[in-house]
Amino acid sequence: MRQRASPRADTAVIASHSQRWCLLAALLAIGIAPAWAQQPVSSAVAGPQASPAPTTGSQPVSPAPAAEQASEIQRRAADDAQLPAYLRNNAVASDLATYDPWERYNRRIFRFNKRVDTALAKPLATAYVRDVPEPVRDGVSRFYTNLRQPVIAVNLFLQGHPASACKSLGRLAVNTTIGIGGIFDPATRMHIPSYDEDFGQTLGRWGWRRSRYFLLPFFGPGTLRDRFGSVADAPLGPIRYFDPTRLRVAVIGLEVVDVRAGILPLDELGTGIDDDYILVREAWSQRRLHQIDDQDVDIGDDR
Amino acid sequence: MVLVALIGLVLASFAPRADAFGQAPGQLVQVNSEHVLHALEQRRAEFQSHPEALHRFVQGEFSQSFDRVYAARLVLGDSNHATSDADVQAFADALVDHLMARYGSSLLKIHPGLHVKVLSEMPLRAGSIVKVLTMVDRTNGARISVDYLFHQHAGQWQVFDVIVEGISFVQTFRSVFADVLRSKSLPAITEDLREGKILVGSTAIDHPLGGH
Repeated sequence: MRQRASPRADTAVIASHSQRWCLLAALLAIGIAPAWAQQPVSSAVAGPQASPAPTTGSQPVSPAPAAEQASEIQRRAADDAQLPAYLRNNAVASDLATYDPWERYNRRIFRFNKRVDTALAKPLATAYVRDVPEPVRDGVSRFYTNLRQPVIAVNLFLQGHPASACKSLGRLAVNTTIGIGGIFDPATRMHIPSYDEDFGQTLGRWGWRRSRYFLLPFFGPGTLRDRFGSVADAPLGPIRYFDPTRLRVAVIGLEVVDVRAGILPLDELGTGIDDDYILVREAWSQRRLHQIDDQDVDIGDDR
Repeated sequence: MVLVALIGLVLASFAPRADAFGQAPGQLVQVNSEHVLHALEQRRAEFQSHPEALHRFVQGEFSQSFDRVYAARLVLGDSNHATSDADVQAFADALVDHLMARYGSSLLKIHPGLHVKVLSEMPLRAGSIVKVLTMVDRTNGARISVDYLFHQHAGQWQVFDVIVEGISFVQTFRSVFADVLRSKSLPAITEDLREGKILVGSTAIDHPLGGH
């Protein structure tokens, strides 16, 4: 699992921190395109299984001992795992597009959510950024990040990383006490790592990788797997135990505003393309698989 | 704001320095990123007062080390087979110009203290592709993974895809344009890009309600 610097969100709440990263990543990835430069077309190839022309020799094609062939197959599989789906030799249609059999329904929800954002979430977030000083807003963000640590710790444990789970609980303890309820983040200064896990990722790690895209009103991108995951995570979110109800609603509302405020800077990049549903869906899906798979990057903690 | 600014940084991290020719891809990323951040630090005031200078700087940084046509062919995917080289070249140029105009100025939003660290270099496909894994560290401790895919073209390592937090620019555009290409020809899409009728790359921001 690759460590995260500031994961947060309550599973019972509309927005999640990972969405912020999803949007950022989508924009970053797309913003790269200007780097294309003028080059001749002689080496270009395309297609779902296209790959650049080898420069250090082609793949062996002559008969080889079974062991060598098996080794070569393993090597190619390992290579494929490191490449985007469009470059993989064994890519199938499901690798190249999000599984979205409910697209017609999802598109309706997508349009509805955008209207909600335009009418409510964005104006509130704009006012929040305008009227609340940045240090205060940062403290609010850290507060919600801290509240997410129980969810993260449990899911780290379920994914087989007990040491990392303990570190996540350590973050919770340090930031809740010394950090005054999580408003400050002394844990980072103490080099206690931060992670971002949830039960949707855990289900993915357990084998439920391919799940249908499934939008809900007032919620963002997700799959059926992730919706189940959110339900499972919900009891671990401390906000649901806040009392009275008025306080709980206020805390949830502030989190929504906080998350929306966090991605306001991205708004200045302009308006969307003709069909932004596909862009959001594909970018989110790639990001989500990355979250599920990235444990290989930093799994040493628990070995 | 730093998040938006990172677009500019990644945009500007491909340019080969004159003294970097022949270096490994990982070294190229490290050297180029440091060069861009240093230039930004030195010339921020100039760029702020003269946007055209910033535009020239960004154009210059990208002019050689991103294989735009190869990337465009990958973006077009299956549709590529039915298109001419000239159409692909025009599409690549139009998309580059369009996105450059939209995102080039984001470089100014990079805060001092941003750090790019090359984590590893991964030869793939018998060395014909090299994946460079990097981590962008923000001053507040947040980290963003940015991976570059290089291949050799004309004796030089060139980037053909960038993967930010798992999101491949080629893969994402491939999905988007596959849908558009069902109803329009490539020349028509190229023309729309030139005229600004297609605004690429910013739509996710309009969908703020997060979730899994």
